[in-house]
Amino acid sequence: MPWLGPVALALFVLVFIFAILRFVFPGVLVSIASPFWSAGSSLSSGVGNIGSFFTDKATLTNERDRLLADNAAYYAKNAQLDARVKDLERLLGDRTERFGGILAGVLSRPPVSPYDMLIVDAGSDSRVRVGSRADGPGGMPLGEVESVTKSSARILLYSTPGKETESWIGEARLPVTLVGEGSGAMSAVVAREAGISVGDLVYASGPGALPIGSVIEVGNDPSSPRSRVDIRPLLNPFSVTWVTITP
Amino acid sequence: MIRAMTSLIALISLFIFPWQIALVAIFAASLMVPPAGLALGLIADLVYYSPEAAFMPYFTLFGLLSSVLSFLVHRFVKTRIMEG
Repeated sequence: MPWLGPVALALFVLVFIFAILRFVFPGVLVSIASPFWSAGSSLSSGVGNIGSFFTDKATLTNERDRLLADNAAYYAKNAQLDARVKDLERLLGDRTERFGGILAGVLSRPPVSPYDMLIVDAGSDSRVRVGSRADGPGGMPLGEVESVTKSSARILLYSTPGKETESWIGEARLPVTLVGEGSGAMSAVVAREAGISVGDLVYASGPGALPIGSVIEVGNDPSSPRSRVDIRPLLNPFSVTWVTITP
Repeated sequence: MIRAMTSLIALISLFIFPWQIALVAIFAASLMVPPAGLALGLIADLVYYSPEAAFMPYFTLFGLLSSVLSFLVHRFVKTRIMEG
């Protein structure tokens, strides 16, 4: 293989260039990769639309019925909340604090990004700091900022494999440690007598008790005093396009 | 030419396709050009890896394994005309 030497040299020059970009000019690396990530996002959404064409008609009908039922429930709930807001405004006035979050577009997300990480287009120039919390649509917490460049930031999702996050579970707000399982999934270990059941919400610990996921399975091993709880995120990290970062 | 194209497609796939497809593309590229597996694995981890996100850089390990396997294939398997 006489070509092997020059090709290997060229490849490792390429690796060296990427290493310099990552460690010396991380912002440039994101700028170069951004058009490709955008093309990938467009491609993914296009493929998703093609897939929906082949979806079973009965499944679509069932989904429509379920959405109609959900809509009716949300309408009722909205009316109830609207009345509550009016009552509170009568009591406290209608002054609202200015929202201090930073809006950031998502450049890369799972499954293109392999380690359950989001790369967003706001960095230290926009006051993003390491450790800031990133929220998805509706203020739902997604993860924390792991590193920042001038114009981009990396956000580790709560579902990053092995990442531990303190949180609360169920109506009783039982404190638990969430462990990331990858691809959006999380798990926790609770006492069997804790009374956790499927559908219970999991909240980010802290002010406001913001929901981040729901319980989809509770282990039931009679020989163990503890149960493993599997948790699904309320927001699909594979489709998140914007986040707000609270500095 | 096809060797360069396979490596280029694998490089672009790191930014466009889900990581599972990128792994397949890296493996295919390393079969064509053995060092490409390690080089592309390193590039993938330079772009995405963070010590807090994973215990070890899995793409680099996968690329290294692909390259070693590919070197072995190129070293020991030679093309020849089968005689009946």
